[in-house]
Amino acid sequence: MLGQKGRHIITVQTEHSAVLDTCTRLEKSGFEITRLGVDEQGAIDSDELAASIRADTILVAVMMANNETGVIQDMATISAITRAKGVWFFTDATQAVGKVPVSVRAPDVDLMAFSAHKFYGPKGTGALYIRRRDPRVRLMPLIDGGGHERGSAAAP
Amino acid sequence: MNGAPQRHPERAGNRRIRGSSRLAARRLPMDMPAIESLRGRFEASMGALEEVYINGRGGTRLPTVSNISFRYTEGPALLAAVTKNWLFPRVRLAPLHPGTLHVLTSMGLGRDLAFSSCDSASGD
Repeated sequence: MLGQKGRHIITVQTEHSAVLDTCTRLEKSGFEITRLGVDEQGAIDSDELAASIRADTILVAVMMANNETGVIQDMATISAITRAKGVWFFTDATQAVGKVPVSVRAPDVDLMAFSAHKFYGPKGTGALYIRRRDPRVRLMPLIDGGGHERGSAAAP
Repeated sequence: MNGAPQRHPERAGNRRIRGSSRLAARRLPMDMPAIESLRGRFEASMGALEEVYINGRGGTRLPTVSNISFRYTEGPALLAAVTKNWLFPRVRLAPLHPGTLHVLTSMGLGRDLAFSSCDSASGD
């Protein structure tokens, strides 16, 4: 399990509260969170990101586009850094999907979340992309009790 | 909610997401250039005003979003002006959503200027 590798997560100060508050919750249960700063344009410093990754870092969470300013992070560079360091890369692409071309392969991401109401879909629905190979990403279901979505979702 | 046969067929699920994804992909190249052009004209006009700042300008941004700060403008005045005159289908005022101020303060804005800001979006 990834938790055995370490309990350090890197995110950004300008993330949506959905990520920041989750990180704060994890912090209370023993995880260590690094929150990267941004420059005046809202972009993170890729050198700072690379320097922040440690042996016990398990996840980098950087949103693709900011919900307040629309600032788009340099996904290709972040992906290259995380791939080289062997750390999972999660991106919240909620604001970007439907506004700019989005792919899970270029750049490579391990996990990508988005919400359907941003692109003509119904409110309250969304999707989570989970990489299947190289490396295979497996998540523990939040609720046990069913084998749906290859064991990731319980809906008995 | 319609769109899938799960639960005989009372629950709409994955197919609805796939359908909306296809629609968004088809519309994106048609809609976004025009929206970005309008956003550019809007920001050019706003940016010409004194003590008005386009946040994130100069970097890579979504074509649909404008985040603007108005120095020396207090929240209630901003709210009244925006409610009366704004053009965008969605406007979010920092005074009404203080939970979003961390984005602007992280970019170096003082709290007062961040509080006198709003973000506008079209295409949502």
